[in-house]
Amino acid sequence: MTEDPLWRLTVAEASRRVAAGALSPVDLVEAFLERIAAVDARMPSYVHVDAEGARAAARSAADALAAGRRRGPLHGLPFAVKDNYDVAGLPTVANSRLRLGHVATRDATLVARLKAAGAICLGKLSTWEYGTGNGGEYGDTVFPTTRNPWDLARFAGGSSTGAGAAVAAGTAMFALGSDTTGSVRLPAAACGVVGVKATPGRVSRHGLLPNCYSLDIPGPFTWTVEDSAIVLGVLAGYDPADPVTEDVPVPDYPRRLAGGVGGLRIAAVTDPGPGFPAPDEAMAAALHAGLDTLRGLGAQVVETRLPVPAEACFALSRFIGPPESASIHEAEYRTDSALMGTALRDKMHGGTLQRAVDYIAAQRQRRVVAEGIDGLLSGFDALVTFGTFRVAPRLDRQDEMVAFTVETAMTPFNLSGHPSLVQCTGFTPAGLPLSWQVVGHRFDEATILRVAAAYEAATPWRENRAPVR
Amino acid sequence: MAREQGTGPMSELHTLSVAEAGRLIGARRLSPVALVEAVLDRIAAVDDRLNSYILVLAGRARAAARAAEAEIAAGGWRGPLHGIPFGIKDNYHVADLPTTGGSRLMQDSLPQAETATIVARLERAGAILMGKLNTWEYGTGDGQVYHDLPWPVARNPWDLARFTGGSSTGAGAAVAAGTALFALGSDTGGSIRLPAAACGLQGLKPTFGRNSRAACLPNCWSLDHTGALTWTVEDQAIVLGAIAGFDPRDPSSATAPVPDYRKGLHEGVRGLVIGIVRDLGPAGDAVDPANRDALEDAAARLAEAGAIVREVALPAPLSAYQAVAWTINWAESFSIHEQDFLARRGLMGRALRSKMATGFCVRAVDYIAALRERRRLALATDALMRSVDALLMPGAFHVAPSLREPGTVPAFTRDTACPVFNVTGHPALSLCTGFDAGGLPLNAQVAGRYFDEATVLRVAQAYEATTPWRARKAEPASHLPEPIMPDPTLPPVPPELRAEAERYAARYGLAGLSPAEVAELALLFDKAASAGLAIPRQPGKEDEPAHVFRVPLR
Repeated sequence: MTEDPLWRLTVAEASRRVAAGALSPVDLVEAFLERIAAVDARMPSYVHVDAEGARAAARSAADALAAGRRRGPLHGLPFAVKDNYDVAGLPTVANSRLRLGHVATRDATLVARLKAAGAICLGKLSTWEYGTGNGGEYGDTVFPTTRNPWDLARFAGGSSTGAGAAVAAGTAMFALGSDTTGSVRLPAAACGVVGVKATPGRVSRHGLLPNCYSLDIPGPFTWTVEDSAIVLGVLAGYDPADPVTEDVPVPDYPRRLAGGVGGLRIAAVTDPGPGFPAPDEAMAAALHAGLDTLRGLGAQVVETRLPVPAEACFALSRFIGPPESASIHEAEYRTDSALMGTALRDKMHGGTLQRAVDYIAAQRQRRVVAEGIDGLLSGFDALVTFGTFRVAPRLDRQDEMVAFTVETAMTPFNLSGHPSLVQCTGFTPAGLPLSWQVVGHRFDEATILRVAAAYEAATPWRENRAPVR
Repeated sequence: MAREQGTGPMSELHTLSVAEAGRLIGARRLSPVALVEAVLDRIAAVDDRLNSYILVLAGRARAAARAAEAEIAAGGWRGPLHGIPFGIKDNYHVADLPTTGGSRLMQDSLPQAETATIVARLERAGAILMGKLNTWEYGTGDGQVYHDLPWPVARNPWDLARFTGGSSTGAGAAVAAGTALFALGSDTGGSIRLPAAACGLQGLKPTFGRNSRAACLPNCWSLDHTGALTWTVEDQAIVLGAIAGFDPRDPSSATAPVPDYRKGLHEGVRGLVIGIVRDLGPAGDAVDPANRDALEDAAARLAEAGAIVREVALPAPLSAYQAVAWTINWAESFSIHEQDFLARRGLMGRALRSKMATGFCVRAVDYIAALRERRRLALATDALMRSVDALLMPGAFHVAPSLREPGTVPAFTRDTACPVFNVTGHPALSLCTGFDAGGLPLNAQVAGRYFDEATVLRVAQAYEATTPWRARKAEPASHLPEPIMPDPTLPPVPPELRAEAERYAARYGLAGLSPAEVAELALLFDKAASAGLAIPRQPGKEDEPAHVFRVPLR
């Protein structure tokens, strides 16, 4: 029996081995660089691999260990970030012709925290231009389109296109993406990994290229729920450089994973409301089966409904995202819109023409959504519902790609500010990942991780790795 | 018209300051019943000309006065506001009373279910509500007075031909004329400080978040502040101490502790660093010479009292703050009144309608640009504020304009440095700095650090104590001069602009515009677009708006 390759290690297992002196950061980083060399040309998940930087960091991580200094739980563990995070010395292109030649001079706060915990940055992951778009792939931005490691003909989910693919394919042990109306959770769903959108204010946005001030949230991608708990524990917490972060205590997420779901009250939303076509049968069947699993584990599951249908929430987000994006990229739009890709330019056109009163009306309605979901959650420990309604679409089906991105149950929780994560709930007969979404009370990421961990432990889905080789 | 104060404190009860009346009541030398009767007498004597009230609550006030008298007689004196008569701008809700907002749209509305937090706090402190005070419609407008609201405009007690300043028109008139001992107003771009300036009062817009806004009609969420107009600085300290502090009913309310504002009020300014702002950029050229001279005199008096007066400059010209304030105000105000504007704009007065039409035309990117520029201005201004103990600078640039010269009226609201502190959120007080040769009040502004109203009041108190202005009282004349209507003629509108406005109106559901309305909309469309494009754009994409969605949602 041959041992699993190192790129298949979870964060938790690699962390244990490194701590025990059984695994060298140098070997681990080499294994990932080899994996990238072996498979990434076909996906591709990276836009920039910093092999030299990673090797140097691995050597110094190994030296530190030899000297008895382990910097933290992520010591020697390789990660990568969506190319809208600044990493000092590396370009932040964000898949935009407008940023070619840009090199960051500082680390984003989250990157700095990961490095301080000993993690090693392998490079920058692909993204839609400026972390946004309309679901369509027009092939008119800087970098080639990322492909889904479960089926290279399919979409990897956006806008954090490279992050989901990298973790699923093992080109990074974990990754950072960013979520405005699903951009962490969509790729996580498409690629069968765990993606966490924390509570706004929980994780710093400093050094992340903004897409929409009032909705953007950075978030981690990992293979397992435990890994998310470990990484989120390093990322979370107050940052004076981000005016939205809150100075609230960060629990010990990995320790809080245990305990299961016995006795927890879980709200189940299996009907996302009118407006969108019904979710795929396979996705719905997985949701129902998963709820049965939670019941079997002792949770009390109660069917309920969203206070505002998912489609209405998405419609609201269309009056918040485009005008804020248009404000952010206004100068470039005025002078260099021809350098923008179609998806971004279309969004700028719309956002530029919108009226202030409609933007303000959407922000006011957002309070209604937030208070409604607060009310819904008040009698429950967590909520389980759909993430995406469909499996990853084929890249040559533009309409299905847009539907995959738009028709989801994710936007309500961006509007409301409740933490949510996506995890894998199985596979279609064709081997494509299914998924669901677990939502919690504000600043209670610990409980959604606990629910997801209990589900994960009761199901076999983590044994199945993406077939790309 | 003005005269010096009478011979003794009891001679004219309505001229007592809050502090004086409170001391007399606390010493049981004055009955709340007598004080309330004196104020009701004063209302009966002058308010037919002054128009400070929309609604006088004589029965309610008398009952409260009797209860206060009994409570105090039984040894239950609640403090310096017990038995003190006050009025509130008619955009504050009081349970079981209608709120009109000075608008025909709310003229016959039902009684309210709840009382504004700060009104309830005053009543709990024993103050006696005399009634609801006049206001510009919904506390806003376009700066002009069109005499088309259900209640005639309040008049300035120093000269009944003159405007009181807006939008807390009745509050300014009432406190200056003694139809209330103090009043609550609200301030989005100067609406407490401008009437205070025009009427010779002390008007404080505290730090954003210091005073609750719960159950007060909104005008612009980002810039609205509540606060009081008083005759003396000490009165401000007393009232602020009663109303300030966290309120879970107001999501913008701050948890910062509330000090005892009377403690330290009289400690003087020795050693305090007071920055004087003389140069406000080109927009500041309009400051009246009399206000400039009074500002210099105030600086000299403070220096003489031991303050270190140092000339400083705001980090941006006044016009930058004004531009940001207006775009935010137009857009949010329109969001608040959108349904009424689309369905019932004929019931709105022209001043509100014109503001609504402007807000109707603001683009989201320009509004967001203004919020982003607001953050930059607030941070830069705060850096200046932290380098001094207080700022002394112009407030309203002009004395109260005459309603018989309507062409001069909008300039009173336009030419002010008040919006600076709505944009930045710092506390700012309009201080009476004397009177011009015609007997009209002059003013300056004292501003301070966030949540440091105490120092603002201490500086203002030091100035007030060295000047005789509080002894001069307004006595409204018996004759009410007729106003002259503003000229309704619009400048010519190019046909293509008119067509553009017409298409835009139709596109966004504004139907049935008369040709004159289309012409006005076209001009405002142009104004909103030019103003929006003139908002400076931030150099960095990370430079975000002054407020973004925060959790926990309050």
